[in-house]
Amino acid sequence: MTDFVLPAALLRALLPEITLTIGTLVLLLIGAWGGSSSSPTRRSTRFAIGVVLATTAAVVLAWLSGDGGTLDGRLAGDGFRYAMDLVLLLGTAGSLALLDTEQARTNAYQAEVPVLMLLALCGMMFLTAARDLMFLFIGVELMSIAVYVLAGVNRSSARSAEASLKYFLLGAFSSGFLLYGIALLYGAAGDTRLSVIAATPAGPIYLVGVALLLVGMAFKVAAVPFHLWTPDVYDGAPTPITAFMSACVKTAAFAMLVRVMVEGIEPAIQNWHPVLWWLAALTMVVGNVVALSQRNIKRMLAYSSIAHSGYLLVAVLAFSPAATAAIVFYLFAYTLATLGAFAVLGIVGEATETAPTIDDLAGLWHVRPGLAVVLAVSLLAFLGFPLAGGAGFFAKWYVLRAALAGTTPLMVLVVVLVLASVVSAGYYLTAIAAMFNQKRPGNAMMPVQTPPLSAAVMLVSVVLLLVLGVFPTPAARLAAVATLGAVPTTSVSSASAPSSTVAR
Amino acid sequence: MNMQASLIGGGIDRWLLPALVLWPLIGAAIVLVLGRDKRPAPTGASLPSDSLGGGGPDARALTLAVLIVEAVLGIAAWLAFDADVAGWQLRTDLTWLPDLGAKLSLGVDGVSLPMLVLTTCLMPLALLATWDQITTRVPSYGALLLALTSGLVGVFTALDLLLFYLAWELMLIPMYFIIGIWGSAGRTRAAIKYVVLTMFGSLLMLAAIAALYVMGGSASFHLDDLLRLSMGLQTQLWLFGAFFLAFAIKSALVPFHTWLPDAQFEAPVIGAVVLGLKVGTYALLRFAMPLFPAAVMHETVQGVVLVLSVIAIVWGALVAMVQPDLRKVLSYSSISHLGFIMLGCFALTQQSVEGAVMIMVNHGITTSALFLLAGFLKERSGTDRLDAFGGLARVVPLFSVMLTLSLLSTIGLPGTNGFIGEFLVLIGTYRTQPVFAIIATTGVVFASVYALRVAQRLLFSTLDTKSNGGMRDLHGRQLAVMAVFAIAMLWLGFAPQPVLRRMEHASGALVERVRGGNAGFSSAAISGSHALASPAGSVTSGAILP
Repeated sequence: MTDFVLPAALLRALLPEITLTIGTLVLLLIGAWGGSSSSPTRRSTRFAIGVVLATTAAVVLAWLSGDGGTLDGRLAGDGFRYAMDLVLLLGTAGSLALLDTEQARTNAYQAEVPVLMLLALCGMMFLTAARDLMFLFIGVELMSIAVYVLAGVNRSSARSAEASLKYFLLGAFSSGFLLYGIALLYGAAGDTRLSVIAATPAGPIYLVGVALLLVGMAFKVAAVPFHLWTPDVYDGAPTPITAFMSACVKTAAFAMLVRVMVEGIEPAIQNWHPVLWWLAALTMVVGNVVALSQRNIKRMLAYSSIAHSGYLLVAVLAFSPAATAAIVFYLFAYTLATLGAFAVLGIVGEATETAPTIDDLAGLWHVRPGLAVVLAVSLLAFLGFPLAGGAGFFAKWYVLRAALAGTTPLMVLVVVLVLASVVSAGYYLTAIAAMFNQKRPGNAMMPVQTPPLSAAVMLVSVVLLLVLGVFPTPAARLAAVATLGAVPTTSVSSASAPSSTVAR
Repeated sequence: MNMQASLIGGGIDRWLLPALVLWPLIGAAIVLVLGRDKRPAPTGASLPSDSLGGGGPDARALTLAVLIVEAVLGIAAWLAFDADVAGWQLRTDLTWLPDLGAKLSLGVDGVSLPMLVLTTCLMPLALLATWDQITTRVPSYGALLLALTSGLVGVFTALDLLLFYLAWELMLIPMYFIIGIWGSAGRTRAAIKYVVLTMFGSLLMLAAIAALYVMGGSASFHLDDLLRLSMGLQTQLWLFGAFFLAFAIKSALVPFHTWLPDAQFEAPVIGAVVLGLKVGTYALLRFAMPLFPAAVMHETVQGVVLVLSVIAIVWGALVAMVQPDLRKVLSYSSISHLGFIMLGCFALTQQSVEGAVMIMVNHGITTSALFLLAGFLKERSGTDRLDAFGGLARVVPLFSVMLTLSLLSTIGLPGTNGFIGEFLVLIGTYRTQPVFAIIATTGVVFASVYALRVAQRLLFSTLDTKSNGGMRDLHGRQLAVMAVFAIAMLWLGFAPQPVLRRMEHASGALVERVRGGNAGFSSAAISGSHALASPAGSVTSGAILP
C-alpha cells in the first residue's frame, strides 16, 4: 500500500523535534549575530532553556493528542517515546542550568555550547522515536557528533581535548559497527523498518547484522567491555557536559536499545539473549568493582554510570511491558540523581584545578551542610537505598520485579544485581563518609556560594527523589503507560518479509 | 483490663501504631528546624548553661520531649493490648501504593509488643543517660536519633513486607551517621563495615521479598497473604536462606558477627545501646520462620543453626573473657546471648520460643544498662579499659552496685531478669534437643567467668590510681536512669508473668505454624504442586528458582 507519508502526518509526528530544531536554529543565529552582548553564552543558555520548555510543551501536547506516529511505521508515537523525551528534556534543562552557573563563574564557554546541546537533544529525541534503522542512525550521529564536540568544548584544557578525541575515535569506530549491522540487516530483510525486520526469519546474515548492531549499541550505553571511553570522557569533559552525557546520552541510548530489541530483533531472541545476559552481568560487576578504587569522583561516577547500564540491561532482558516501564522510571530517577550529584560537584570542583577527588569532599558537611546532604541523597539514590535515597530504591525495585516476573525469571542475574549493589555501597559510602565523618582540612578552599540556578536544580532533584521515594505512584503510573505502542499493521502487511526477500 | 477497655473504647487502636511510627519522624523535622545547638553544662553541673545559641529551644531537650511522648505512646500500646486475644492487635491498614498492593499495615502481637515497649522506653532513658556526651551538631544528632527510633518502631510493627524492608533500612542510615560522625577514632571503618555487611544481607532479602511477591501474583506484600503461599521445599530453602542471612548478619550470629564489636566499640554510647536491640532475631521469628516452615524444619537447616547457636554461646563467652575493654566484653557477651536466642527459636517448643523473646527483651535492658555504665566510665576517665581501673567499689559505690546488679543479670542469676529467659530456653530446648541444651548450659558458667572478671577488675582489686580515686559517683539524671533500669531488672526477675502472659498466644501460634505448616506442606511437596491459594483464587506460581 502506501509507503509514502502525507507531509501533514509527518509534520504532526515530528512536531516536538521541529519545535526544537527551529528554536535551535534561531539560537544559532543569535549566537552568530548577537556578539555585541557582554555575555552571549549566558543569554543563549537561558534562551535554550526556554526552547527546552517549549519543546516539553510540544511533547506533552503530542502525547495527549494520542497521535500514533506515522502510518508507514517509521516513526513511533507511543508513550515510550514521549516519556523518554520528557526524561531527556528534564536532563537537558538541568544541564543547561548547570552550564549557566558554570559560565557565570568561568566565562570559558562559547555561545555555541547550548546550541550543540540542543542539537544533541534533537538527535536523542529522534532515537526515542525511530522505528527505522536509517532514522536511528541519523539520530545516533546527530547526538554523537554534537557530544564529541561538547566533550572538548573547554579549549584551554588539554584533558578535555584528549577526552574529546578519544571519544570521537572510539565513537566513530562504533558507528561503523552500527552502520555495518544496519546494512546487513537491510540485506537480510530488504527494508530498514523494524517492523519488517521483526518479521524476517533469522538467517546467518541477519544474525551477524544483529551482533554488529549490538556492539554499536553496547558502546553507546557503555556496557562492559565497550565501556573504556566512559571514565576518560566523563573526567575530561566540563562538569555540566558530563552531567548531560551521563543523564541524557544514556537515556537516549537505552531508548534506542529497548526499541530495537523489542520491536526489531525479537525473532533472534534466543541468539542475543545469552549475549546480553553476559553483557549485563559483566557490566554490573566490572563497573562496580572498578569504581571501588577510584579517588576522582567524576571517574567514580563514570564507573557508577557503567554499573547502572548493567542494571538497566537486566530490565531490557526481562522483555515485558513492566520491564519497559521499569526502564523509564529508572532513567527518570537516575537523571534526577545525576543532576543533583553533578550540581554539587560543579560547586565543589570549582575550587580545584583538576576534577574533584574524594579528599576535596572531606568535611563538606561541616562547612556547607546543604551541599553535603544533596550529594548524599543523590549517591544513596544511585545506590538504590530506600527512603534516604528516595526514588532510587523504587527504580531498583521495579527492575527486580520485572526481572523476576518475566517469562524466564532471571534469578541468577537478580542475585548478581543485588550483590553488585552491595559492592557499590563501598564507594558511595566512602564518599559520604568523607563528607560527614571527617573534619574539613584547614587548607581546603571554602566552596563558593551556591548560585540560584544550581540551587534550584538541587532542590528540584532532591525533593522529587525524596517524595517519589515514599509515594512513587504518580511517576510509576506515568511510566506504566509509557509502553511501546503497536506498530501500524498496514505497513507490516504491505511489506511482508517473504515477498521482500524474494524481491531481493 | 478496665484500662484496656477504656483505651480501645476511646478509639486508640485506630491511630496508635501509625502515630508511633510517624511521630518520631515529625519530631525529627521539628528538631532539625527549631532545635538550637546549646552547650551542655560541664559534667557535674546540675543546670544547663545557656551561654550559646539563643533563639530557639535546646535541640537535646526537644529530642527528649519527642522521645518521652513516644514512650508514653508505647506504654499506651502495652495497656491497650489484650493478652487473651490471639492474632494482630491495634491493627491499622492505610493505603500506600495501590499499584503495587503495598499497604501501611501495622499491628502488634505478643512477640512484637514487648520489643516495641522496650524500644520506646529505652530511647529517652538512653538519651538522658548520655546527656552530656554529644556536644557537636546536636540538632542533627537529635533528628538522626529520632529517625532511628522510627525505623525501629516500624520494624517491630510492620506487617507489610515492603514497609518492613523500608523500616529495616531506615534504621541503617541514621545509625551509619551516628557512628560515623560522633564515633571514636576508628568510626569511618566501623560504620562502613556495618552498613556494607548489613546491606549484603538485606539486599538478598529484598530479592527474596520480590520473589515472594511475584509468586503471590504481584498483588500483596502483606504477611497474612504471603503466609497462604505454598512453596516447594527448594524454593523455601533458597528464600529462607536469603532472609536468614539478612537476620543473622543483623543480629550478629557467629560467623557473621565481626561488625558488632567494632561498631559498638566505635559508636557513641547510645549507638551501642541501639545496636544491642535484637531486631534481627525478632524479624526471624516474625517473618522468616512462619513464611518458610519446611525450610525451618529441614534437618540440615536446623542442625546448622543449632550448631552455630551453641558455638556462639560458648565461643562468644570465651572471647569475652579475654577482652581488654569493657565495651568489647559486652559485645561478645551479646554474641553469646544471641546464641541462646537462636537456640530457643530453633528448638521450637513454646517454652523455648517464649524464653527467646524474654532474652531479647531482658538482654535489651541489661546490655543497655551495661553500655551506659561503660559510657559513664569513659566519660569520667576517657577509657573503659579494664586494667585502667581497680577498687572502684570504695570510690563510686552507687556505680558499683549498679554494675554488679547488671553483671549478675547478664549471668542469669535467679531473681534478676536474665534468669527467666535462659531458664525457659534451656528447659524448652532440653525437650527436643537435649545435647544442645547441655552444651549451652556451659555458656552460663562461662558467662559468670567473664562477668565476675569484669567486676573483680573494676571494683574490687586493690590497684588504684589517684585519678580514679577522685571519680564522681552517679548523680542526678544518671542515677535516676539507672534506678529505672534496676527496678526493671528486678521487677522482670521476680514477676515476668505480665510479659509472659502477653506473648503466650503469639509464641504458641508460631510453634504451631512452623511445626504444623511443615506437616501440611510435606504432602503438597510430594504431589509437586506449586498452587497458591490466594483470595482471588488459585494461581499457579510456577517455579521461580532454577
